[in-house]
Amino acid sequence: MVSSGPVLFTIFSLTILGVISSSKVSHHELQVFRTLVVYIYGTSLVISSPFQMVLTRYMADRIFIKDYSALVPSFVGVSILSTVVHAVIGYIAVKALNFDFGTSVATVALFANVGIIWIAMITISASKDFVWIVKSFMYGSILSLVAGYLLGTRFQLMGLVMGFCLGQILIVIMLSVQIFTEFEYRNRLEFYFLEYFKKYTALAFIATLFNIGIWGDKVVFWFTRETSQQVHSFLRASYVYDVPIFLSYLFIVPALAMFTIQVETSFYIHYKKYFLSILNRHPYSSLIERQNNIINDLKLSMGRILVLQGTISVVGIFLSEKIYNYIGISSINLGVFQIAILAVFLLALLQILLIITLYFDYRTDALILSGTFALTNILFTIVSIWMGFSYYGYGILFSCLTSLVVGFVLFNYRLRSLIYYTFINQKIIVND
Amino acid sequence: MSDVCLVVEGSYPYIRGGVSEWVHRLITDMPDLQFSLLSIMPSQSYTREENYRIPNNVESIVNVYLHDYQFKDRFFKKRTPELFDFFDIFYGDIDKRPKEELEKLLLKLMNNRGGIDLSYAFSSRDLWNSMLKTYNSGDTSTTFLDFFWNYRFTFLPLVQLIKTNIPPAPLYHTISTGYAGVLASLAKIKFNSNMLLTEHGIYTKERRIEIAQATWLYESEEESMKATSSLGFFKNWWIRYFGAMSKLAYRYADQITTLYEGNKLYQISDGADPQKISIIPNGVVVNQFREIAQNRDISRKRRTVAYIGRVVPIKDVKTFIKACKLIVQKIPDAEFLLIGPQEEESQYYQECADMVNMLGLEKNVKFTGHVNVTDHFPKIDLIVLTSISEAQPLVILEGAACGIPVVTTDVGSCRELVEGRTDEDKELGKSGLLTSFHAPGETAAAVINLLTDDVLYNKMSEAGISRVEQYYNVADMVNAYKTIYGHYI
Repeated sequence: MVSSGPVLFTIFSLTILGVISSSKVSHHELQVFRTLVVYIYGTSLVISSPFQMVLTRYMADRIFIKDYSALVPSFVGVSILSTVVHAVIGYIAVKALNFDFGTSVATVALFANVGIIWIAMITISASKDFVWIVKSFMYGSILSLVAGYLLGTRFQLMGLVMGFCLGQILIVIMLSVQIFTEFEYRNRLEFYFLEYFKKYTALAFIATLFNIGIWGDKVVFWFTRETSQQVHSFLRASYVYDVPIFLSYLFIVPALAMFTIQVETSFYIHYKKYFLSILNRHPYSSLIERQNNIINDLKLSMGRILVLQGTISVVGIFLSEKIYNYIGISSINLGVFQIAILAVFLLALLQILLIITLYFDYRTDALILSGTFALTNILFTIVSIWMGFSYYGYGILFSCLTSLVVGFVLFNYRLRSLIYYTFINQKIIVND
Repeated sequence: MSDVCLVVEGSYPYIRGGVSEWVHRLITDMPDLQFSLLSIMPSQSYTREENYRIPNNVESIVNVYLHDYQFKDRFFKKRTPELFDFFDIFYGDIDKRPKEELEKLLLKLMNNRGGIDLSYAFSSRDLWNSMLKTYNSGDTSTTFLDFFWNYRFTFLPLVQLIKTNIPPAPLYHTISTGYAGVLASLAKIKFNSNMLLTEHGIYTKERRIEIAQATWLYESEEESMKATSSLGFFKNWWIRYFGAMSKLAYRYADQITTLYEGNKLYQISDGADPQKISIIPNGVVVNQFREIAQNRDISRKRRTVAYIGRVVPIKDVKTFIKACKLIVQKIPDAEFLLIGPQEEESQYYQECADMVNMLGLEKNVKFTGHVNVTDHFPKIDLIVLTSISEAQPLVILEGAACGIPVVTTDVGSCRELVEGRTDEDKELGKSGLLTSFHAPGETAAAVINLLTDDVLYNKMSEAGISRVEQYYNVADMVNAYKTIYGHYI
């Protein structure tokens, strides 16, 4: 998922900014700022999600036919589209929040900027220069921290948002520089990818549902009276839930990183070999062999990830108290944090499963999987709140578990009939 | 209900040619009988225009499209596993399985309420399992991609036949084996009717020639390196497939007719019961040509040579063009007409046209396209055929009726037509010269011989006129079929 990296960097810089500026900025202002940023990311992710996978698919197809000239114009075109949508929603939001002019401008700018980051990440994933991407986020986050701290101490909320926004703008600039230099640049806009919405409507739904799933439990917590507090106007936060959940997200970095490497190295090779063996007119026995190679490779990779992530989660649970003490937050909700660590472990697996499912283009299955996730996460979270404090976090945990089981059963069935599905869906095209 | 349902494949009333002419003649000459037509074509695009004026005694025409697969992919598919049982039998040993088993399956399929779900036949577990079973029972080192597509492409046309809404009739008369033969057999089974099979050309033999030349069928490098006598896996697959169709039709036909002796031997070797086979030659309307024959100017300088027929590879038009070149070297003012439709294989026609230009024959050779041949007969001096395969070409008979001798390859019944079939017939003398096929030199020599030797020319001209009058009168042919029809309806 292209959003994972940026979100993790944001959680990270947001946490540190909170810690370092706590003595200079009023607690309330800081709280508003934190909540605001979380809403900005969440809302932007959900409203951008119809674009995300469709655009990813479009870019991948262009790259496959080596039409790199389509990338920059599409990037610019979609960015403009996204900025317009973000600006309109942002404008309505800041009016409702009743911010002063400076804060309003900074908020809308940050909101629109975040929208572009997603698009840039999709475009840039075609590039193999990961170091530059990491550098962009590192420098941007540092600038967000420094500028946020310096401006925040002087201008409070407006300063925090402005400073933070500066860092995110740096990220967009650095990513854009890479996109413009690496891919052929032509001075035109392109909206051809919009055609892809007709063909790949399912992808728009899959991404939207999955993002709704990711934010569902949080929204439920924010808008349930017993578990939340009003921060500013309609901005609400859940002190018992937010911190442990966002903190736990930091634990899935290793699993996602490892998966990315596994996909790049072994899985994709087996996947490609399988399809090549069809095109190169191999006999059935050879196809079966290569299908089994994919299955075995996935088993092996997943085993490794399970062991790695499992260990990290267990260690995380043991160290949870120490982490809490270190950051300096009260340990009333330590139990929620421990459950959350487990939950995001499953969430990481769920994301991986979704990506693999889409690799094989099983869109119906992916739709079922993200639909299950969205539905159960909201439903189970409501139930968990109703059951009482000690069950907080179990909502997302069981939602991930359920979705994982559903997704795995479907995928396992498909993969074992890989050859069948590869062939049987081929349409006959009669040329008269 | 019609009296006779004619089952035709790739011809009447959409495609012109010998078989279509023959069918048209049969219908128009039996105005007392009501006909219905089952016309099998590759796809809808072929049936936009009828090339014959449909006679009044044709009650209905049902078109069957073998390769139209427009359907919605349904999630819940209606299962009819009998389809795959049928194909198993079909591709296995169709003639060794009991008739009852096959008929039970087919009746169940044809009488299936709601018909057959194409999306089921096209993409389902049952199709897959049946295909795998067939794959695994054969050479398992075969390329799977091609096997899958070949299986689908051989299987689906049969599904289209089973899906066909067959009009009821007491007699189904199919004018070939192949898909038409299968459909007539299905009709016979469904309505418990009678079936008559007439073969002009031998279907399996013609397909074999086409398949051997086909480039769209995959052959591994190893296979294509081998001597040409052994064909690759997929070519054999198709030949067996067409063979199975013929076996089915031969088995279900109550009576089989064909044009000449040579065909009968082929049919027997393909599994037809010799008892069922009788020979009914083609015929021409002798009266129609008598006038042309009588008005011929015997003393004129003979220069006009005609190829009459469709411009398609099986007729080997290129050999004719090569022969033209050789003839022109001896007779510079010779004139060649290529009379016949060119659109069926437009690429082949283009190649022929290019060849004419390449050999510098633009002045001597003329492509007329499809025209009324009778109008051209008065000015034609000689007819030439260079076909690789023929049945009983009507054009030889029509030419002979006008007193035009022929130079033809020794294929099909051409020898019978030129030299006579029975002893009596042979006594009439030769009405043309025979050559080998792919032999432009022989063809050219024969043409030059006839154009320059007036005595020989006139003798052959006379022999042809008498032969057609005595043995190839269309009225005899029509009467023969009238008798057969009367027997069944």
